[in-house]
Amino acid sequence: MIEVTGLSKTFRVHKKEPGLMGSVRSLFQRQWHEVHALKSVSLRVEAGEIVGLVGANGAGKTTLVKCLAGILNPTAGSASVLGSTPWERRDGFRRQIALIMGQKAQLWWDLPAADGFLLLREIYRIPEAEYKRSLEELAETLQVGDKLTTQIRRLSLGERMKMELIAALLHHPRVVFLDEPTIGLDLTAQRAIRDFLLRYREAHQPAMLLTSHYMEDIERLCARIIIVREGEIVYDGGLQEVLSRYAPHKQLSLRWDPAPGEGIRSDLVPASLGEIVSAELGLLKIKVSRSKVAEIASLLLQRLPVADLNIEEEDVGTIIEALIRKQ
Amino acid sequence: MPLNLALRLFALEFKRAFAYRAEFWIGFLGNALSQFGVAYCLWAAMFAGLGKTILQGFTLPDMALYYLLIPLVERVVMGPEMNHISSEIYEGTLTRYLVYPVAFFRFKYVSALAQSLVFAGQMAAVVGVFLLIFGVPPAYHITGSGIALALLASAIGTLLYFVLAACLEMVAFWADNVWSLMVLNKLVLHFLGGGLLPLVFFPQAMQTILKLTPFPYLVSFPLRFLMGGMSMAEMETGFGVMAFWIVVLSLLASGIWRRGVKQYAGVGI
Repeated sequence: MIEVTGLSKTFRVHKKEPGLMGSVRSLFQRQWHEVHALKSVSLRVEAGEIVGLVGANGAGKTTLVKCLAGILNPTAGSASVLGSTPWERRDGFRRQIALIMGQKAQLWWDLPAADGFLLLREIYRIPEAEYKRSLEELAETLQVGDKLTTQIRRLSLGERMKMELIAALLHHPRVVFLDEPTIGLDLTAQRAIRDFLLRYREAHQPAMLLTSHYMEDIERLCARIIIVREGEIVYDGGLQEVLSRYAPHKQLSLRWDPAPGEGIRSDLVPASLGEIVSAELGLLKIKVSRSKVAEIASLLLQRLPVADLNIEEEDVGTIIEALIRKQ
Repeated sequence: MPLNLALRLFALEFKRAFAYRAEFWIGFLGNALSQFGVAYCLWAAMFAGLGKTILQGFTLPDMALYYLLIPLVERVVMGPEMNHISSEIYEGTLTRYLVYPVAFFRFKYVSALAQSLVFAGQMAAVVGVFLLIFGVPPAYHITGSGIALALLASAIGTLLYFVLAACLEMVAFWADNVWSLMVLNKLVLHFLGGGLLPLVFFPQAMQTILKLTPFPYLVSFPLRFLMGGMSMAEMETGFGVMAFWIVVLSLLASGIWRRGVKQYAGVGI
């Protein structure tokens, strides 16, 4: 559905010096510098997949989404979305995609949502019966049926976002780009939108590319993630595989009632088992290889009078954060 | 553009006009009437001072009608909101027209035409009230065919103004601010289009040159059908020059668009 090969985008940005003199100088002598937003990015997304695009601010996620939605012309490389080159913006291509941006409203702010939807019905040439069915279903699922006649600018942020989702999905697009769809929303609204997206995926099987700074969006929605850093893909694979690749260890915490004066004997816990993170009286924390967790845990249970055992997994969000920040 | 979409856009613009009707009347009363008042007093003093009843073919009632109609025709032809393209570029809302399967200029022009139609309706109301109060002065030659031709010329004028303004507004792809450029454009069009002074008062050489530019055809041209006295040859030339500029400026606009969109980064997204 989406196939990208060696996509690069370089922006030429005008440098503005501070102050009045700087402005005057820049009238005569403009200074430019190049920003490489995407550096030879390649990826594939299939129907029914929700792929999370993760990265720090300015990593190139939104630029990638914009290129694939046909808004930006890349500097180099190729992309095919539903068999079309996005930036040629053919009507046949545009009829089958949708772009939802959490930070930028697309609906006409001075019109009620219902009027905007009617306009979109004509733009996408949706047959009346299908339009009514879609609108009813979407408005009911998102619980905004009673807000359709309110001007967009008078809606709350969460309601507005729901209207944007309806607007984008009325024509049942086969490819959906979601750029931070839950930004600024409260937890209830975030959850409602996540549940809705999952249900929509189940029913229509579109290919979805999602960017978000909220790890919960990614963890709940995406089985696969792509981590972008400084315009390059540093990871493309399963969400859970991030753990096995970048967190090869788990931490065992064992607690017991020690006999007075008794420390940890190295013959009971040899260094070969793993890296001892901390060893106090009655508490041992040891990092062991992910594949040997069960074996070492059972060994230690036999050797120590353990009262409590805890196996701690590194948080996937923390690992992704570390990857994003190049740690 | 499919007819249904065009009709939907018309319906929306009428709805907007209804929602913001106060804006028209305040704009009209504040702007047009004061403009009319100043011009009328000035010309009345001039006619009296010079001791003449006709100046370049204009009597004082002719002049009054001219200055009453000028802001109204300007409103119809050049009224649709200024910065409607540049603001989309600056605010990043142009993005929706790139994503939606819709032709941006056609979409925008149909909206502008709908606004013009609303203004035309309001203009008819104003002129109707004026004629109801003062009656039709015998010197005026307003005929049915004159009104029809004036409407036709105004409709073509809206397209001419749209492509001209679009070329300037699209400078927004490169410049940080085009607001002043658009204000300047309005002032130039007002002056060279005969809004400040009927074009017959301009030096002959300048009138000849102006006839080859788009400016006199935006406002003066439709207005002259209402005031009467337009020859067949003048009419043909007028429509011909309008068509020429519409083609030239449309080609220019589509060239600017193609280059500009490549520059567009969808700011604020």
